[in-house]
Amino acid sequence: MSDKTPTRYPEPAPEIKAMWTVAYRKYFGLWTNLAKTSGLSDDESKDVVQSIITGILCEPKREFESLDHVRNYVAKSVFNRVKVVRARNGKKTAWQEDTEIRFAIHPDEYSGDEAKLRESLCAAVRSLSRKDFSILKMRFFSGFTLAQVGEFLDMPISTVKSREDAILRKMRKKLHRSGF
Amino acid sequence: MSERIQTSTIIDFAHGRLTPEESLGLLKSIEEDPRASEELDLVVDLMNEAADPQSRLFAAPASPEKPIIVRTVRVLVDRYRSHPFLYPAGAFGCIAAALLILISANLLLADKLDELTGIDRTAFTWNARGTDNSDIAGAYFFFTNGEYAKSLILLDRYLRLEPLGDLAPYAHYTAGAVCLIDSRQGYFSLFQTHDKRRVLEALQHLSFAVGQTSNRRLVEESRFLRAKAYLMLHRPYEAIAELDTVRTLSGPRSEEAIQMIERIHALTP
Repeated sequence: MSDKTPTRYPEPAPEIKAMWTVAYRKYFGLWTNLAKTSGLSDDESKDVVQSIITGILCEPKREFESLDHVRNYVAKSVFNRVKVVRARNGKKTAWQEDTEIRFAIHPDEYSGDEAKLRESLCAAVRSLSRKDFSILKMRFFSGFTLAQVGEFLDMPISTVKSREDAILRKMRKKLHRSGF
Repeated sequence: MSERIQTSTIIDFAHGRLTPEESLGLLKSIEEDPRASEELDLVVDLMNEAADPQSRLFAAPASPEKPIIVRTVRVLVDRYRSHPFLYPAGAFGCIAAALLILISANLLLADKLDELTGIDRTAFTWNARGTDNSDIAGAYFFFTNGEYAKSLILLDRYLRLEPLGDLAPYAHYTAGAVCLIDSRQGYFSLFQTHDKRRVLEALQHLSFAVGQTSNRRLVEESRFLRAKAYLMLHRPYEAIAELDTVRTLSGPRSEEAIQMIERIHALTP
């Protein structure tokens, strides 16, 4: 451990912290998956994403208009940060060591909107036909590729692709009707 | 206008299946396409739900609750099964009850006239025993061994070769008797019935036997068997007519015919 006293960073404003809490919970899986495409392990990928978020929260240089903005910004940062992490050989910076604990943003309780979204999502999936449900389950739950789904259901890949497109379009319509 | 982004590409992107270059390219396109951005959000939501072990998103739908009667019966059955003595005793009781039901059903469904249709194999064989034709002798041999089908084949062959031969009435008589014996059907001696087709075949053979011989003994025996055949077909009045003829012939079957007529009258309303 270093003898140097760590820098104390100001706590982010509550509304910023709230937005990042939602973004963290919603996109953490996506961001870590993107980090994994660069060949990082699970833990390394999580570290990369954590370090990006903590860095943004400690030194807010830019303002984010929406969750989409946050999502895209962090996603792009993941690819740049992978190179940096690799260059540092996994060592953390002073601000990372100090702030990760203080700014930990992984509350267990979902907000009202998030809970409602989950319910609507379940309802939308339940309204699908048996075949569509199978396709969705294979793609998201079992992690099948298009080719694997096609082989399993004895369908050409192009059919699976168009079915998938139609399923998500149908679900989006249903979620729009539920106010999302 | 830029090309529409495929849903499958967005799904692969979210699962980290694209290369970093492809991912960055797609991100740029998503930034410019609100529809794709919305779609990515939906894909991410689905992905998160699928990853949540507590989520019911892809779980099998819960089966509806069973009615209270079904649940109570199940509880009682479980308790009963776990009992050390009740279960074997119950199983034994069930088997005994099933046997009782089977036997009762057999007695209830049995034909009243069936007891009169029994044919004693040794009672008629004397007629065939005296023949010297090899087919008839072979038929007799198969018949005594219980191989009725083979016996009938030999008799049929003889009758086709010599339809008006000296032994034809004997062959018809033997074939009729074999058909009657072979007509009996049942399941482990339960639910006894007769194969109608076989009985009619027997009647035909016995008619030929009666028509082709002047031997009183053979006529008597053939008519006696015809009476049995009518009883098998549930035609008691025709059976009585045949037995009445047997009675008038005053042969060895006469007494038996009289007794049978009385019993048929007693059994039929």
